[in-house]
Amino acid sequence: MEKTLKKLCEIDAVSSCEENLKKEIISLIPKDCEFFEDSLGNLIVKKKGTSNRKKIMLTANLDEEGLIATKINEDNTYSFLPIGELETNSIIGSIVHFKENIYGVINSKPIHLQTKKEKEEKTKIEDLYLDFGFEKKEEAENLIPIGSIFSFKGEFEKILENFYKAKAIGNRFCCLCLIEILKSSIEANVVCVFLAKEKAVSNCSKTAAYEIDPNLAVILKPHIIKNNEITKEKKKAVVAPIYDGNFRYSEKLLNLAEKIAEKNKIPFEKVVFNKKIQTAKNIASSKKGVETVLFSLPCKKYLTTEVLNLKDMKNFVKFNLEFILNLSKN
Amino acid sequence: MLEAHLDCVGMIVKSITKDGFLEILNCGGLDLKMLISKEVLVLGKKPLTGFIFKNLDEKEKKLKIENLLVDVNLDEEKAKELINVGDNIVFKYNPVILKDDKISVRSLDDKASIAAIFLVLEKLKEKDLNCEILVCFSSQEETTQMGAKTATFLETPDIAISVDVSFAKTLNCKEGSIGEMNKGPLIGISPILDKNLTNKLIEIAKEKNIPFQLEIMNEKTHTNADEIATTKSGVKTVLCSIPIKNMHTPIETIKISDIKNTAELIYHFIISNKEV
Repeated sequence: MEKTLKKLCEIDAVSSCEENLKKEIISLIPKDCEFFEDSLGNLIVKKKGTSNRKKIMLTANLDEEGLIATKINEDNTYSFLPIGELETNSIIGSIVHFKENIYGVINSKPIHLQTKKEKEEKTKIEDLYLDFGFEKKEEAENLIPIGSIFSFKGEFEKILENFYKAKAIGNRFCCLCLIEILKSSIEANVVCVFLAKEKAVSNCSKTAAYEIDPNLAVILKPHIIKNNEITKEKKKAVVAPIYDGNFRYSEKLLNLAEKIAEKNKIPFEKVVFNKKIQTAKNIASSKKGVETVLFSLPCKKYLTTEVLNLKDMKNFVKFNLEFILNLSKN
Repeated sequence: MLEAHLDCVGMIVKSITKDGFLEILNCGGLDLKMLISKEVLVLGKKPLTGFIFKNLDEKEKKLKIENLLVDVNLDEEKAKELINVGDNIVFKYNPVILKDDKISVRSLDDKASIAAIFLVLEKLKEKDLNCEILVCFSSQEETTQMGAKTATFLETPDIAISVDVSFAKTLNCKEGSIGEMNKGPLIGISPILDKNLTNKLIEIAKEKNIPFQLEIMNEKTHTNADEIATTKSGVKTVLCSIPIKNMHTPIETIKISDIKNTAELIYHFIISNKEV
C-alpha cells in the first residue's frame, strides 16, 4: 500500500491538470474493469457485479490546490491567484514548481522592513509575488506564459512509525481505497468516479451522477480537522456526517455503516459538519434522487501538505470494503 | 579578521502542552504570519518532523508567538521523552535551484557569507601575505551578536571585514537604500564603519571591475560589525553584504555570482593591504 500511495502522491494534479494521475490510476485498476473519461475530465471506472444488478457509485477526488499565473511583473516575478481554498498567510515562503523542474518561491517582505500594520494584518494575495529567478522577460514569457498552473512542493514521507505526510495525501488515499474496492469481488455493479476539478468548481459530481444513474452513492473524502480539536477520545478512523448544513445523509446507509463498524471493531463516529459538501448534494439530487452517504478519514492539513495516521488508514480501507460488500448483498 | 555568523533564525521549545504540542519562542526576527503551516524539524533526541499551526480563534485579530504551536504527532508522554524544553526548531532543509544561477533555501543568512569567506581563503592559499588572516565564524548573531563581540575581544584584530547578507529589492520591498540582486556585494556606509577602509573597498571594486553597490545606513548596521567595531579600544571595520531576497524565511534566495563577487572584492582588498 505504501508504495502505491507514494506513487499517487508524487504526481501533481492541480484542478484541471489531473491527466498524469488518471493515467497512473488506470494502470492500477484490474484489467476486467471498463473505464472512460467524461467531458468534464472525471475518470469513471465500471466493474460488473458477480450476481445482482444494483448499481453503487463511489467517488474520490483527484485534484489538489495550486496557483495560476495572472501577470508577469516588471521584475519578471509572477502575480497569481489560488486554485482552491488556500490561506494566504501560509502561502508566503512556500515553494512551487511548474512542470517537473522549474521551481519558484513566494516572495515576502522581510520582517525587518514591515510596518507595524503589515506585521499584524493578514497578507493580501496581490501583495505576494512568485519568483522563478528569471532575469529576462522573454524567457519568462516563453517558458511560463500567464495562465500556467503551479503545484506546491510536498514530498511523501513517513514520519515516526505511524504517520504519513505528503501533498494531497487525503484525497490520494481515498483514490487508493476505490482501487482496492475495484480489486475485490463484489455482488453488485460498482462504478468508481475519480472526480476532477473538485477544488476549483466542485460541480463535476453532478454530471457524473447523471451519467451513471446509481441506486446508491458513497463519497470518500479526507476530513480536515484542526490540530487543537483532536483529542484522544474524539479520534475515530471513520467519520460520517449526518448533516452538513445543507443536506441530510441517508439514514438507512448510516445505520448500516454503524453496524458494520461495530461488527469489525472499527472506530466510527457520526457527526454534524458545519461545512457544506457540494459533492453530496449534487449526487443526492441527481435525476430521481440517490441515497447518499459520506465517509471521511481524519486528516491534518498544512497548506497542501496533509498528515494521515497509518492505523486510521488501515481501518478506513477495511471499513469501506466491508461496507460495499454488505451493501451489495441487501 | 574575516567574520561571518554561523547561526540562523529559528525557534526554541518553550513548553510541551498536555496534548503533546510544542509551545515555541522565536530565535531571531520571524514573520509570524509566514510561520503558519510551515514544515519544521524539531532537534530533539532525534530530528522530528513537525508542522506549525495557528491556535487562535478567527475573531482574534493579532497573531502572537503564543498562538503558534508545533504538532509533532506525539502525545504528551512520548513528546516529553523525545523533546526537551530548550531544544531548537529549524525550517526543514528544502533547497531548490531557481533560474539564472540562483539558489533558494533556509539559512543562506549567513551561510552564503561563510561560503564567500571560504572562496577568499581558497584564493589566498598560494599567496605571500604581509598580514595575518584570522577567520571568525561567530555564533548567536541573530539573537545577541555576542559571539562576534567576545571573539573580537579575544583576538583583537587590526582590521575586520564583516560579511553578512542584506535586503535585495523585490516588488513588495523597494523603499530606502535597498540593494539589487545580481549587482554584486553591498558595501556598507555607516557611521560605525571605518571611512578610509570603506573608500578603499570602493576604489578596489572600481579598479578590478567588480560589480558593487552601496548600502547607506544613517546609524548602526544592525550586524556583527557594530559589536566588532566597538570592541576594546575599537577595531577598524568594514561591512560587505550579499544581496538576499526573502530574508529569515525557509526560501532565502541568493544569486551565486553575488557570492563570488563578494569573495573577489574581499580577496583583492586583502592582497592590497600593504598600501593601507
